[in-house]
Amino acid sequence: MSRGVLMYAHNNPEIDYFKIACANALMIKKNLQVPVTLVTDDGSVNWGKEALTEELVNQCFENIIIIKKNYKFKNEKNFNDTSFNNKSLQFYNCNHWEAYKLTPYDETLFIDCDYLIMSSALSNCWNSRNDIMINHKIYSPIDQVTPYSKNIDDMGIKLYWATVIYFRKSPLAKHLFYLVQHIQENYRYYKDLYYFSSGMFRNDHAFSIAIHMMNGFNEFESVVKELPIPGLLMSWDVNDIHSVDYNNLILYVEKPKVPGTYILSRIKNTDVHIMNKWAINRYADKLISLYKD
Amino acid sequence: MNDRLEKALEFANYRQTLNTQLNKSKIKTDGLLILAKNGGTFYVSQELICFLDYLIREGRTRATIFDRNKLPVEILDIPGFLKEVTTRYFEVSNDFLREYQLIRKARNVKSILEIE
Repeated sequence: MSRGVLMYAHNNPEIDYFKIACANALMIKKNLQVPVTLVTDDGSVNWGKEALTEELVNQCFENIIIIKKNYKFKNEKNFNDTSFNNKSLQFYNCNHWEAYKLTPYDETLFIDCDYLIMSSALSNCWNSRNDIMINHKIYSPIDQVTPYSKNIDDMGIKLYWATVIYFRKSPLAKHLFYLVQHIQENYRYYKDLYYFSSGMFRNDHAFSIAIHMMNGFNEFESVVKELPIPGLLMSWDVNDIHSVDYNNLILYVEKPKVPGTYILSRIKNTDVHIMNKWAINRYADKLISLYKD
Repeated sequence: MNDRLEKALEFANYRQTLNTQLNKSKIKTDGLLILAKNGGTFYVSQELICFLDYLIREGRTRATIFDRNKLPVEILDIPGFLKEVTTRYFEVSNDFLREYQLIRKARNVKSILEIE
């Protein structure tokens, strides 16, 4: 039974997702000890090899799958670098449904490249009896409550976070990913049907709808189970990184309702989703040097 | 800003940092208490320990137990599993105690975050 991690990285003019993926791949190798496959495009991989050297890129990934980008797909997203800086850039995320056919593994942990692996918690996924595991509970570094669920809208269905998905090659997982493809291709229809306001395509929404459909359009008993973690730790894009060390980072976390004021928060031996891509880009070289052999 | 107000805000920051660090530490501990066994995932709790101990006292060596996703998992060696569960429980709770004491004893933001 083969096991591994699958990540996607498609650079845009300002954010070097490839470099973030390299740093995270090295973190995964240290903490989960499994091979990593990257799905990317020509432009990103060529830039990455030039900036980081081919040797380092080969050290990071066992496989690099190069796909052709669909340039007709336009998905503008507002990227924040704290509350003080904001830019609208292209966010290429329309091909996550392909993960099922692209993965070379029987058991796959499909993670966003900005979900930094600083613990071995996700090792508990391997050999699971569940075909798919995905979380709906999250918490942030400033929360003083236990992990909680959100809905895709005030009156909407439960929001599942496609940040980390465990799946094994199985009919159930295959159906889920094909449903996500169908939802992505008919996104405007589903956006109206499920009443969410944002026009930007989000995989979180597509997976939430697909799960809702697979559950027989109800929320009582889900066909997908929870990952073996209490929730996903989310550092929103209004936060910044103060410093990084081995499995250890300190964040500037913006106080809720007081933009521009921060408290410090240490994240130690816990996986964390850093939404501020510029912040990770600023520390990617440091992370690479910390986790490189 | 006068001195008293500045000190009060500094103290508020300290309390907030302390509480959020404690909360993160609790959630991390919850995560470490999840144990994978025979394809299922169990939450290591005092309740699970007592239940396994009860099964052993009843003379059972194998049983089907529900995991945290309410799925049935067959455990073939209950005494071995109890040992695994209690070892994990004490490892994690001792680590949490150490971390908890460090955070509680810290008197400023720098020491809570272990910044030198």
